[in-house]
Parts: sequence; C-alpha cells; structure tokens
Amino acid sequence: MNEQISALMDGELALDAHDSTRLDPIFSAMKTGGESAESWATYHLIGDVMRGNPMFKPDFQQRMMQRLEKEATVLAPHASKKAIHHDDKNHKGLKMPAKWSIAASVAAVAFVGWMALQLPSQNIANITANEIAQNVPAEYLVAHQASASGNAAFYVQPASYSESAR
Amino acid sequence: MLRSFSTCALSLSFTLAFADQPTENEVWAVLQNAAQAAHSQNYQGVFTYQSGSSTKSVQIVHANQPHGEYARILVLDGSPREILSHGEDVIIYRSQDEKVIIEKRHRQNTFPALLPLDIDTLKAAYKARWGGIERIGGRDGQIVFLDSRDRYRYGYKFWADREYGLLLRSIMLNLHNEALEQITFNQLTFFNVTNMDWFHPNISRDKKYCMESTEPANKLMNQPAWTVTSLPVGFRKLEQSTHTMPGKSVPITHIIYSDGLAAVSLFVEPINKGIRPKIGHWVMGATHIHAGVSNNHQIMVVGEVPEATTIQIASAVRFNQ
Amino acid sequence: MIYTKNLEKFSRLDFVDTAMQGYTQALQGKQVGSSAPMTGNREIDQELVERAQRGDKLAFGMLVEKYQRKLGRLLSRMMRDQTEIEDVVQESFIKAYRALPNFRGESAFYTWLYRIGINTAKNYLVSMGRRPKLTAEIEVEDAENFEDNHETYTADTPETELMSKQIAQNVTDTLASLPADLRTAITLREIEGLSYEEIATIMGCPIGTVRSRIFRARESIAEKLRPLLNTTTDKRW
Repeated sequence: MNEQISALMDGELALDAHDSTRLDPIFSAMKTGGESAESWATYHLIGDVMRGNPMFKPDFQQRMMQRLEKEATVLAPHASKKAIHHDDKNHKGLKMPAKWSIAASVAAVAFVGWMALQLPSQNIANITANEIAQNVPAEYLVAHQASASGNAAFYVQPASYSESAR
Repeated sequence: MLRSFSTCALSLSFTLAFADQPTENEVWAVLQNAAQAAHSQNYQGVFTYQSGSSTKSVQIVHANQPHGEYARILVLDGSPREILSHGEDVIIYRSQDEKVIIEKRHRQNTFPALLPLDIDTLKAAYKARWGGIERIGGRDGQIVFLDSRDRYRYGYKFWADREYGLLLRSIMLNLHNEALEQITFNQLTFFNVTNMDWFHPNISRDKKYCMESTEPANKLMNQPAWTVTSLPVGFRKLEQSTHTMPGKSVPITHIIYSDGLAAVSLFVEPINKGIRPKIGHWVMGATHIHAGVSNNHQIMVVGEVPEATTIQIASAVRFNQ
Repeated sequence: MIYTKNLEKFSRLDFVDTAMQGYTQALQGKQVGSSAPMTGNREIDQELVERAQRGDKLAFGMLVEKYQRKLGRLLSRMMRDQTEIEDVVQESFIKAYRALPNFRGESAFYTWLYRIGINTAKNYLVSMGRRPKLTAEIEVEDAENFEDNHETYTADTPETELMSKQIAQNVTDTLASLPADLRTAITLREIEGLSYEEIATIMGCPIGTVRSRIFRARESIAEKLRPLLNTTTDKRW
C-alpha cells in the first residue's frame, strides 16, 4: 500500500483515466488514519525538506484539521453530479430517495456562533505585546454577535462573514 | 397597501398630545409603546443604518399574523443579504458566497424593535427625558432621550411615531454625546396584511447551509471554579452556555449580560499548555473587546458598551481558590 | 456529518419551502477525457479536490499535507515572521476550502491555491499597516516556478527551528547513508522533478524499478523520522 501511495504522489500510479474508483482503496486506507495517512504526510515532508522548504510547527496539520472540522462541509453541485454518475454505473437505475437530497443539503452544517472559534496554539513564553495587539479576536466577536446580536451584527456583516466574503 | 388604524388598539390610545412637559412616566410610556409597536404593527419601509464610515440601506417588511411575527429584511447596499424571520427562527441568505444561515435568535433587538417589551427593565440604568416633537420623513416623531445613570453604557435618542408609536429614528450616543450609530426610516408605510406573497424563503441545494446546532450546551460541566461578583448596575445574566470545541478539551463558558438595551458577552476558558492567551483591548465602532488573563484563564469581554464596562465585567470574575 | 436532529429543525421552520429538487438531474453522457493513462500531479490534485467537493474533508487535508510547506516558502518571500507565515497559510487553506465549490479545475489546484495564499498575505500585511513587499514580483506566474529558487530557508521561532533542524539533519543523514541507486532515484524525483520514465532512462532500469527505489528511499527516511515526529504529535490526522 505504501508503495502505491509513493507512486500516487508522484502522479505515477497507472490508472484508468475516467475511473478514479480504483483510488478508493488507497483513499479509504488513508482515511482510517494510521500508516497510510502517515506515509502520505511523511513522504511529502521528506520531499519538502530535500527542497529546503520551511517546516511549520509539528501540530500544524492537527490544528488545520481541527479548523476544517468546524467549517461547514462544502458540497459542490458539479462534484455531486459526478458522485451520482458513479452510483449510477454501479447500481443501475437507482433513484435518489427524496429524503436523500434533503440530507445532502443539511449535511453542510455548522454551529454558526462558534464556527470560527479557535486560538493559535503557541508558546506562552513567546508573547510580545505587539503580536497580541495585532490580532483582533474575531472569533469571540462573532460568537457575541451570533447570540447577543444588535444592529451592527444584523446589517453590517459580522467579522467572519465579511472575512469569508473574499 | 392600505393604511389602517385598526391593527393595534394600543397605538391609538397613544395619539395623545402632551399639553405641557410630559412626566417621566409618560415619557417611559412612549418608549413602552414604541417597543410594542415594533412587534404588533404591520409596516414596511426603508431605513438607513450608519455607524462610523459604514452606511447600509435596509428594506424591512414586518407583519404580525395569527401564527406569529414575520419579517423580511433586505440589505440594499453592498453585498445583498436577505434575512427572513418567523418568531425566533431566522434565515439569512448571503448572495456573496451563496450561503444560507439558519439560526435561532433568542434575543432580537434590531431596529425598529430595539427596546425591550418590558420597559421597566431599563429604569435602573437609564433615565428617560422628553425631547419634544420633530418631523421625520413627513411624520411626527416624539423625541425621548435615554440617558445612562452611570458611565457603563451608551445613551440613546429616539424618535417615536406620534400616531403608531413605532421608532422612526434611533441614535446611540457615547459618553461625549457623539453619535455612534444612527438608524432612520427614510420611507415607512403601515398596512393591512392581505397576503404574504412577499414572504418567500426558498432553499436550494445549490447553496451552502450553515445551521445552528440544536444540540444543547454541555450541561455536564463541572461547576466553574469562578463566579462573577459585581456587575455594573442594570446588567442581568440572560444566558449561560458551555461549549466544548471539537478536538479540544478546553470548555468555554459564554455568559450573555444585558441591561435591556446593551448586550455584553463574557467568555471564560482555562488556558491550556501551549496556548497563547490574548491580552489587550480592541474597538470596532460601538463594540469594545477586552481580553485579559486571570488565574490561568482567558477572560474575554465583548459588548456594545464603553471600555470601562468591559473592564469592570472582566475584573468581576473571581476565582474560588 | 449528517445530523438528523437538524432535519427536524427544518420541519420546525414550517415556512421553509421544503419541496426541494432531488439530485436526479439528467445525467451527463460519460465524458472520457484525453488518453492520459497516468494520473499526473494535476490529476491527483483534481481527484482530491473532487473528493473534497463531495464533502470529504480528509481529502482536503491531504492537499494541506502536500502544499503547506510549498505555500509557506512562497509566502516567505512576502513576510519574514514564521508564526505569521504559518497563520496566513492556515487562513489561505481555510479560504480555499470555503471557495472550493467555485473551483472548476480550469487551472491547476496549486495555481489557484497560491493565488489565494498571495492575496491572503497581501490583505494580512495591509491590515497590519505594512506595505506588502515585492507584490509586483510575486505573482502567480512566478509562484508556479518558485521552486527554482534554491535559497535555503530557516525557520524563525526557536522551537520550530530546533525541530526543523533535527528533521532536516535526519533527512540529510539518512539520504547520505542510502545505497547510491536509491539516493539517485529520490533525488532525481524530488529535486529535479523528473518523471519515472525519465529517471528510468537516466538510470538504465525499468520503470518498475524506479518506482520501487523511490519508495524504498522514502520509506527508509520515513523510518528514521517517525520517532522524531511521533514524539511531538500523537496523531497527525
């Protein structure tokens, strides 16, 4: 499996161009975490170290995934079509139950008030007054506005909203 | 759109003209009437919201129906936003990124429904003062000042419609009597509800949905090792919730305080090893944010109140040890 | 991540038009792309993007693993502070994630990501009251070739620096200790960016051997890195 991952990241895994389902076993292996996921991460790290690219703090990926978890799951319509395309091939004539489409919409769920809530995890010893003053704690502002909203939150877009507008 | 006098008996009763300077009780009654009118009347109009350099035109349609209050709010300037609400349920459409936010607003104090329905809750912290009559967009506005009794909240100047009671204009004033936020109806019509065609929420699967979690706040938390000792006058706890963020063991306690008009959020969370706490003060329009550290906890206070209030509330957090 | 509780919430919102259309639109005829038998770099990225667009966050996480340091290096031309770069990289990935539905694969994923990264960095610098440096020089076209710049980068913060040094030392040492054919194979791949076929031609061996050598080289180095990485993170995912 790890040799496949190694070839995959080099774009050298022989594949049927229009059937990416052959990647499924690799992806499911990586999804369960453990060795495969770790190999994907470490192999990429090795390449970057060899090229002299900067490394981040060891918990970078972990923090990133925690933030992603809090994001509303994106569902792109055209990607969904493709998913159905596969389904259709595998289960001929399968019709999506009406409920399924509702569930798919609802799947993108986030806890509005707290969706942006996270703190940079950094060493306490590293604080400089300058650094602190620069970071407006928008996540708290958003949480405040979501639950104790006044006019500002309603008519002017709250911090996180305008942020994501870009 | 028909004009109607019949929708609310209360507003009719209040078309009285004050012979002399009204008493303080009469002034409070103007505000009480304004609070009720915002919920009970049927109206539509366009108002302008101004704060700092930010200006937004907002269209509002509000109907009081047997099944509850319905409102449609459309932000006309900048990126379009549509807000539909039925009672506490609120749906926000953001065209900019095709997002739909569905949430429950426990406390809705947005113009023209700024004032609490129980106006008495304001009396401890504010004084009401009569300001005369002034015409706003062709309608007579009764001016009422709400002056803070201390320095822990902003003051207000309201113009309430003489006929229907509804607020026509509202200005939030800082301690130096400078306007922080101004909202004015440019156009306003009262009507009889004949149909609800304007209320058309539609949900499409092409949009992204964000929905407020229905999961109750974590009640299994240990009693926090701290208490809030002395709040500025008039502030009462409205809500307390504990959130445990995914992937983190640190629970955050969020308490909302309000004096009836101004709302303040207090966040308290233990600082985990390796987390850098925030310290400092930020101002964004009328909103002050105060961040401090006490007893290895991050204390964060956010509210539409003067700086002194955020500091006072932050320092009111006392740890038991 | 489907909360059935929220379905009830939908029905509670009785004014919501729940007569939603299903996904069963006319299915497109099967579109077979050009005859590219291999998934190149772009193809694997596209595959990950599509999986992420179907709601698979871990697929996006794999893109983060792949591009975090490359993006970090690109942004290190605009800003010096390691902590800031890290924050901006995180922010860029979040923005990219949010914008993912709009990504249609017209450009390569990394081109798109780097553009978001550069804009995020510019906005950050402006918000900090600093003029973005070198904005004219750092554009996406440049970004695409930025790996040609071999200037070695050193991390600024002490703990990261120490860690980075250890990892870099470990990689260098292990690489040096590898048998020559493994070392050559991985170097041609990672530094020169050659395809397996090109490496096979240069080394005079079958492609399968190249594939195996590169894998063995990576695995040998990874073996040495694991204790180092595991002491700092219990779980990478």
